[in-house]
Amino acid sequence: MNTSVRLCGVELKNPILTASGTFGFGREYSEFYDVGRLGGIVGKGLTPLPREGNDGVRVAETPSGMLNCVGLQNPGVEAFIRDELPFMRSLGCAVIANAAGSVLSDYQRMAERLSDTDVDMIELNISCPNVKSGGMAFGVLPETVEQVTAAAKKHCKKPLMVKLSPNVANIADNARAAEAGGADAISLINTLTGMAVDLKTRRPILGNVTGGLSGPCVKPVALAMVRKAYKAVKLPIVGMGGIMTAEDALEFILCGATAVQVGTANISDPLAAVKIVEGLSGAMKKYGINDISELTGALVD
Amino acid sequence: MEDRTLIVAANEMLCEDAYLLEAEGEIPDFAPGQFAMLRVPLADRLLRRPLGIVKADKNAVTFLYQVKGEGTRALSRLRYGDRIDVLLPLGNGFPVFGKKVAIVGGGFGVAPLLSAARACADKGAEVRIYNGFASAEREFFSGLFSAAGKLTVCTDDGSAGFHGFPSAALEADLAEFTPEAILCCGPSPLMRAVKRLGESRGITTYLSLEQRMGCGVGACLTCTCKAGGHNKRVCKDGPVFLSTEVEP
Repeated sequence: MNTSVRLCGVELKNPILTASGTFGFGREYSEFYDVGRLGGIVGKGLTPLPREGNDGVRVAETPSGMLNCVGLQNPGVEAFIRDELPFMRSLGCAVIANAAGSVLSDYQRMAERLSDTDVDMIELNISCPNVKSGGMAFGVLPETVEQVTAAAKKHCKKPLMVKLSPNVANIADNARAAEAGGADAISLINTLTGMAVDLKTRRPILGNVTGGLSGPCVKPVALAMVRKAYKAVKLPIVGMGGIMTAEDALEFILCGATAVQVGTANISDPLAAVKIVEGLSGAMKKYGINDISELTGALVD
Repeated sequence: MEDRTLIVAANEMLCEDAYLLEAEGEIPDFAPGQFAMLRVPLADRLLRRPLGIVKADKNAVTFLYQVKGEGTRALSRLRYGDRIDVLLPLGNGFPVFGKKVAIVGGGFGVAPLLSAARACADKGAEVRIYNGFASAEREFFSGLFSAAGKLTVCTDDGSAGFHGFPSAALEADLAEFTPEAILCCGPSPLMRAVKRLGESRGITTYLSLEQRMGCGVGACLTCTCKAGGHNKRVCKDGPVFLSTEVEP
């Protein structure tokens, strides 16, 4: 049985990655298990300078999901390279850096800077609000998706994966825009914009009013978008959205993903990602899958 | 820190919204003031609930919790023999002092202070405890605290003990009692009062903060608080902070 996959030339021992923002840089979870058993880690979203993130309540629970509005709190790319990357590199799995920014030049600079390190890949986070282009996120309009991808790609010497937002008119257009901009892969979905309110206080629960919805409640949306993107582009796809079990991971692969990311499950259960890795061969056997790559996109629809 | 499946031994109501849950299993050692994350027994609830550890030994652990919403209501329905997933121990905990210590608790905030009071007493400290509650019906663990030090019970309505905040009871005692440290956990107004009092008298003061949490292990950055101008994680860098670092 073969669980290994190749993603943009990077060998992953299995297709299970952790989603950015749910796994820190691997330190906390390495207190629970050997993180090297995962296919790889996608680190916390990085910006050129350190960011404190949003004030107030940052998390709310919703049925089969959660909302967060952390707001890209991170130590900045230089501190990451100095203090976190050597540790991540020592874990024995693929290391993917997640790069964010607020202006076009940030993305260019981040991709350039991270290219000089030994990360395996760069994931471009383009669903950060409060950025250029009339305050609209780079990830919403296909034109800006292409523009920011091309800017990042310009001096990028690592495989570039563009993480797509689901809060868009047509995910296929945005996937094509990333491809046109020169992306080597796409990952989806990022969180869906959502809100929770308190009837008693008549206030939103989150300090930022709205936040990103994740967890099993978004899985059907994510599967549909992965499928749509798979049909729209030739790029490898990394699928995510509510994966809690090995079967969930296989469903994403069936819809077109080469690898997957586990996010909210880590927050619910610190052992979630490694449990999914452990469950993979059993689930593959159950569904008659010998080589996991054969399943990619095999959905009959 | 360990992820354990424990068996519920008891889950009793103390008063309208306050419950005491005792669970059995292999319990790792913990420092006073550390906490646990309990999985809610509802299929559609993903986040664990952070609860203070009242007491524990090698085979059993006791938690105090308030029923606030659906998740904690589901916890309150756990019965003898039910299984519960518990992540523990989490966070930094209180330092232990061996000379003179003042312990100030308010409401549900008294939970993590019992083990702190006991640890200081075991180290030979003179321990004075000031526990405040809304009323006499909401008084918790006075017998247990009395065994660890000199207890002053305070109530907001005067229905038992000192009429007023426990910070005021402590302040009255400071004329003849000079603790090397104050350890406090409780509602924000109480912690603000204790912070002011401790800092104005030059007494090192530790506050145990509460915050909505995600992972409980320091990864998701949702339970942050401002400490010294920067965000710190309540679950991992705390929950106990020096009063001078934080604004409760």
